[in-house]
Amino acid sequence: MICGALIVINSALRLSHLGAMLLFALLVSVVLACLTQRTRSGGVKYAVWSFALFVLVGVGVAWLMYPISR
Amino acid sequence: MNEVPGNEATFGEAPVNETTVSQTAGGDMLTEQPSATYTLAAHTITPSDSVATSAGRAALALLAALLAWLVPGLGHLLLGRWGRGLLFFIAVGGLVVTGYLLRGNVFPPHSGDPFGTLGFLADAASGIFYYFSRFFEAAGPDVSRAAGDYGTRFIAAAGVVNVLAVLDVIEIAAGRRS
Repeated sequence: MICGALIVINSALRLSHLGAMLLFALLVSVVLACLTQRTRSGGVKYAVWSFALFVLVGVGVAWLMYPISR
Repeated sequence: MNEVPGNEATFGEAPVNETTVSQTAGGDMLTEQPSATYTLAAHTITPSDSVATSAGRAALALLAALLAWLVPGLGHLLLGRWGRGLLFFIAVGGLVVTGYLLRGNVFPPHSGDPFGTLGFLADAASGIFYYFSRFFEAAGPDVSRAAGDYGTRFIAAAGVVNVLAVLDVIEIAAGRRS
């Protein structure tokens, strides 16, 4: 049963590169917000800001490196 | 023990006992233990009490840190921080399991090179999840694809996140964080 569940998760988790980056950014942003902010509203703002920066910088670096991959 | 008049404190404002240092004629430094007794509303704190309290706090911090490393979030649960505990478990577990499913590389304990050792330390910091790698990665790592390389980073990041969680537990147990 556990193996079956893992196979289902694995097939559902065929992450694209963007999907992997979004998941990473989401989890790490939430953890950093929880560690650094004391209020809930401050934590939400920090998490959103951190997530946006992760995605923007990631997409920016990917765009800069795009010619190298060709 | 002397009572200090007018020095009554409330809970949460335990006074810091001052240690007096004096110098003898021969130049030796003598340290006098604090002798004051502070009376609280329902309890009298003596210097021996505060030593016992700090020792208890240190033991609690050590136990919580150990549990937090072993099972991410368990240290926070021990301290009554259910929300944080659950969050750290989901975050560390999510990162490390995703890394395994992406077939990231898991560094063994005796890799023989410094980068491998650093990789092992980062991976092992995720505690019990490190030992689940064989269960999740039955086919072994595959870093020939980009996804496998991403998985390696996910697993290492999970360990680093858990180190931050352990430090957070120590801060909370030591009373340095509200």
